[in-house]
Amino acid sequence: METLRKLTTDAGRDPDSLQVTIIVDPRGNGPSADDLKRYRDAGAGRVVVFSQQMGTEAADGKALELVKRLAPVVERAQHV
Amino acid sequence: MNIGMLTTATAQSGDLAEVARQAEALGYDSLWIPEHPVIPIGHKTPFPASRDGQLPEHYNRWADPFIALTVAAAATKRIKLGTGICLLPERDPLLTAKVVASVDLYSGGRVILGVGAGWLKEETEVMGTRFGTRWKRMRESVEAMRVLWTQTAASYEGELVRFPAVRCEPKPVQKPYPPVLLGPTATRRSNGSRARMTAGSHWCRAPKPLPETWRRSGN
Repeated sequence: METLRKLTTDAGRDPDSLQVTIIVDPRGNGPSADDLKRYRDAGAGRVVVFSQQMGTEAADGKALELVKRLAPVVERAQHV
Repeated sequence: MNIGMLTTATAQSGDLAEVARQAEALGYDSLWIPEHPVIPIGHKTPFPASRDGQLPEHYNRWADPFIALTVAAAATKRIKLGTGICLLPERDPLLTAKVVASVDLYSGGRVILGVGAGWLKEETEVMGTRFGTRWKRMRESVEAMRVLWTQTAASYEGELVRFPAVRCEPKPVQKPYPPVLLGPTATRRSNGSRARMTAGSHWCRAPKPLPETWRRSGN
């Protein structure tokens, strides 16, 4: 994130104006509350859960199941 | 902290409208759909996200992301709708500006345009762009779309993208235009888990001209 902010500043832009979204492999139950806090403290405003395994499962009919399976991450994020 | 989900959309994925409805009901802030317009048969470029370089078969079957997001938009009220990512150098910027603005209109201003330059050389070139110029084309396309989204008579003169004054409407609902997130790849380790710090998506390799791209690409 420091590199990103430096590049933005070097380019004459306000680094605080950036929207930062990170993509995280949920690896089972998804990022913990502590993980989410670390991402937040690093400057991310959004976490998108995705993995290659998820991509394969969703492509073959399990997208709805994945949405439900990873819903606890949304609940954790409400407290972050 | 907002949580989004990126999902692939194929003919075998099931009911995407129901996926979007459930995601919204469960509190996800955004739903993201990736793009590969075509996969050239027999391509040699290794897939960067697998150890053996093999591209998963389902990449051949992805639906158009803007059509998929329109299905999601029609079934929901609040959830944001993102491309994760849109391979902008492979697209006509005039048509893409129109499509993005139209989805933004019909979704009530919920579009997030994640863009990337792509890694699959054969795909980039079969879609009509020289691989070596894809980052320049992407930057110019973003600049051109910003003009198309904000000006009544829009024209643009770049090295790779250029057009005389045109009208391009509808304009996006979001002002001045939807968020444009750039998706370079920068991988790092965090708390033992692998996270890809991006401004949009993780599909693209880290580009050498990132500073220049960053300077000019908008949000």
